[in-house]
Amino acid sequence: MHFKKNKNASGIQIPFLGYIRAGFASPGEEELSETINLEQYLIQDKDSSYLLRVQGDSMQDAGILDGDYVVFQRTTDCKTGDIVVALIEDGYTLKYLQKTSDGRLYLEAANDLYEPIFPRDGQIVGVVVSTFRTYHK
Amino acid sequence: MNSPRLSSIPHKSRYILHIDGDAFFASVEQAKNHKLKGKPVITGLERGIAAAFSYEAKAKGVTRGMRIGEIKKVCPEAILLDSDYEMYCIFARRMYNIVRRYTPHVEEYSIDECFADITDVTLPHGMTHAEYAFNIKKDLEMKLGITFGVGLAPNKVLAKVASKHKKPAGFTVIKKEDIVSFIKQLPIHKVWGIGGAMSMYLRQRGIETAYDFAIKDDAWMRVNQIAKPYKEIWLEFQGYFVKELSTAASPASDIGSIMKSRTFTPATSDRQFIFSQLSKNIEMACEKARFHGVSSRAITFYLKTSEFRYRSVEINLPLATSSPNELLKVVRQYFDQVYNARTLYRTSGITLRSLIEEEAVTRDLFGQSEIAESSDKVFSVVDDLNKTFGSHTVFLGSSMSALQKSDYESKHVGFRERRINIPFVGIALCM
Repeated sequence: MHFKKNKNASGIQIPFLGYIRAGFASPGEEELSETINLEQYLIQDKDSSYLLRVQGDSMQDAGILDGDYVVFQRTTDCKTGDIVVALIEDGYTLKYLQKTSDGRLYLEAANDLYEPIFPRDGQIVGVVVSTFRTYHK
Repeated sequence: MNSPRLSSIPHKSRYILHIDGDAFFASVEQAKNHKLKGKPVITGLERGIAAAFSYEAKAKGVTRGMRIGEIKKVCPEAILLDSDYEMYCIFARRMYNIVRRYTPHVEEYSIDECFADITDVTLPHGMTHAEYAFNIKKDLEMKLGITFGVGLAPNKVLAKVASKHKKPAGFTVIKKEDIVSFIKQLPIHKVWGIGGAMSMYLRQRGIETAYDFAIKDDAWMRVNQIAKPYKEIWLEFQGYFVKELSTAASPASDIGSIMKSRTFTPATSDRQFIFSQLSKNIEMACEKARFHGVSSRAITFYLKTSEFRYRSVEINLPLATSSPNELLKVVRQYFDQVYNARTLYRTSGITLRSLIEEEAVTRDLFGQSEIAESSDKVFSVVDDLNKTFGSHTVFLGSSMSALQKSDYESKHVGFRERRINIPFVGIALCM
């Protein structure tokens, strides 16, 4: 992981207490003086970013779950393997952008229960840059 | 043009852009909610008139200022929305920010327009100024999801002509040699900066179009005592660059008015409760006004009934103010003109209009200023306390019952530069 440091940045600075290994006890002592600016960490370009809320489980293997928020950037600059936001007949959806061997673009879920989508019309409006969820009540 | 002036312009050409959001408020609403794309969207519901409307609504015959009743007649499928100034400000700020990536010389002219000087930018190899300008337009449209009319010309007056030339989503370049063809048909009263009285004055002197005006000579200008601002326009029509961009970010420029409203469920006829809601609207609007350093010369407050009928009162204030106490006094006087004890209400709201910069507030002769000023001081202390200890540490007693039963905190939108506001645009279906 890499964090940009910017002393003058606005927003909330949260102290970074090191890495933890899920399942193993780990000494979390490295880089104790670091702070992370959450806004900068979650948002790359604040002037083109928008939020969506996820409904459904088609992206669960990418770690994007039902109820999560995703930040996406409106852009035309996306490549295969990106998680893109597409606006299709039913509304917004998130999927991996993929290409068939003969060069056709399609949308692929991160869940084996879902078939690939070859959208007839619709457009890719942006690329997902981060996702977050909270556990507080 | 036969004027010798035109052929002998001494200095190098400037490249000035005017960037104008197409049907901006309605377009922002469509960017917020994709389901509104391609539909006749109208904002200004809280005022009971069309403040802004999408091109789809315009095509149906909706005009500026049209009343709700008439809109429903000419366009029954119209989607009428309350203005969401917070969101329009977010999009405006994004527009300025994005243009500033291309040039530092940006004038924030209004909430949906800016000027930019790209004369001295370092152009990527082989790129023309026009191509550079076109890239700015494309980038804005991609990042904001709305379209812009963009004009490139040697000065501000002509850039404004260019951006209006083709709508929506137009891109027009006016070169010096093309000026005549652009202004020949342009009626004088449509020229930016020439108001009703001035265009009347000019028409009495036989000037019907911008071209008629542009070809007048110095002697004519002197004899007819044309004042400096109009002389500048006259010079710009001849291709000169006269009107400088004011590139200092001015806080008041992106807020034409301040609107705060709140819908409460269930609808109620509880006079005290409704008044306290309105009181809170006023406090929040005033907090925003003070943050931007502006005072209001006129207000409108309204109540919306459970049947979606609006009752509102417009009040011109004797003295510009941003003090909630002053405004509450006024609103209290007129409250019963809109309130009826047998009616259920669901929304209260206030709009602060005719905003002027604090320094420009004129002092009156009869001591009213002094009273108002001392209460201004109280409120700047309140703002400091609220900044230090969190919003609504200190508030007016009349807002008390509103604060106790509301989800105010989560709705509050913060000071615009301290927080990054990311528009929420809906649900992503992953099923």
